[in-house]
Amino acid sequence: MENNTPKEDWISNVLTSTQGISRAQPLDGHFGRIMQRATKVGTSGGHEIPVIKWVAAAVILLALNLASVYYYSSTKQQAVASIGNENPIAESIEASTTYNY
Amino acid sequence: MPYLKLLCTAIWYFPNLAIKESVINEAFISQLRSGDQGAFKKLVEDYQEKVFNTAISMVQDHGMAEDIAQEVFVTVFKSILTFNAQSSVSTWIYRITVNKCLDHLRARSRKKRGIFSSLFSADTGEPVSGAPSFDHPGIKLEQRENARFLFAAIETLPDNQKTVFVLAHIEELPQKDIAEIMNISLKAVESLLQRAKINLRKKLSDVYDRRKNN
Repeated sequence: MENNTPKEDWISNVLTSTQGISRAQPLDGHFGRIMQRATKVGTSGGHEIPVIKWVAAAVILLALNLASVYYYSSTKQQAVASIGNENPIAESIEASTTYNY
Repeated sequence: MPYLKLLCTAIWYFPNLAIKESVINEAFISQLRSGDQGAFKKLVEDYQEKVFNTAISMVQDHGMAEDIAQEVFVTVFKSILTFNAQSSVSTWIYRITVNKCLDHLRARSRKKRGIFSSLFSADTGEPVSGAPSFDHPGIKLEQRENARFLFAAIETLPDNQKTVFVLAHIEELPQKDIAEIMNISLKAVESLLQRAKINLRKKLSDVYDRRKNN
């Protein structure tokens, strides 16, 4: 038990070290900063979306648009080409057409 | 919306739900509700030390505590219309403060998991080498070194034990008030406080042994 005494004393001292503690104070101008913040939240509706999120959304939309334009234009070209090459009716019309110049 | 206002007003004027504090009375709350900036300034002046002291004791970071204190009063400012006076203004503000502190602590632990240095390992709870560094500004000079060890040990406690210990031993609030703030029973507060002390003793004992061996 005697060996534990300094240890127990130290633990007790640490546990009671907050006795007589005084309250910590915020920096000067606290109220001003609160009002500034409250006004900012009030004017922005409290749910301001950061600019970076708007930019990211715009880039994604643009990329989707470009991808869809590229995809549809390439499939349309393929469809036109296949009609021209493989449709027998189109070929016969082409063959039987007499051009009068 | 008019019905909600009517309901709030009805609750507000219900005779059994009178506010306990003498300073913060019905007229004062009415002034706050009407957007009186002077009344709000008085509220901030009355509570800023309590809010800031609780925040700095819980998060152990001056900048973060400033931020939390501002957020608390902005929340109070925004939601004073919905404050229903079932609890005192003091309890309400302490509750907002504790919740904000816990939110910030969770966000910080998510951000810094693995690299946040502490007196104790975040994973094992075992003490690690290195002296604790947080100095609470309100601690007496001669107690500063001991208090550093105490705050480092408080940091490792689970959220509810940490909250109870800070409110009881640093804010020096009565257990009844702590029960109201945390929305738990008085017995639960006693139990949490007891467990917090046991855990702190255990952690400090480990620190003592480690320091002696080094």
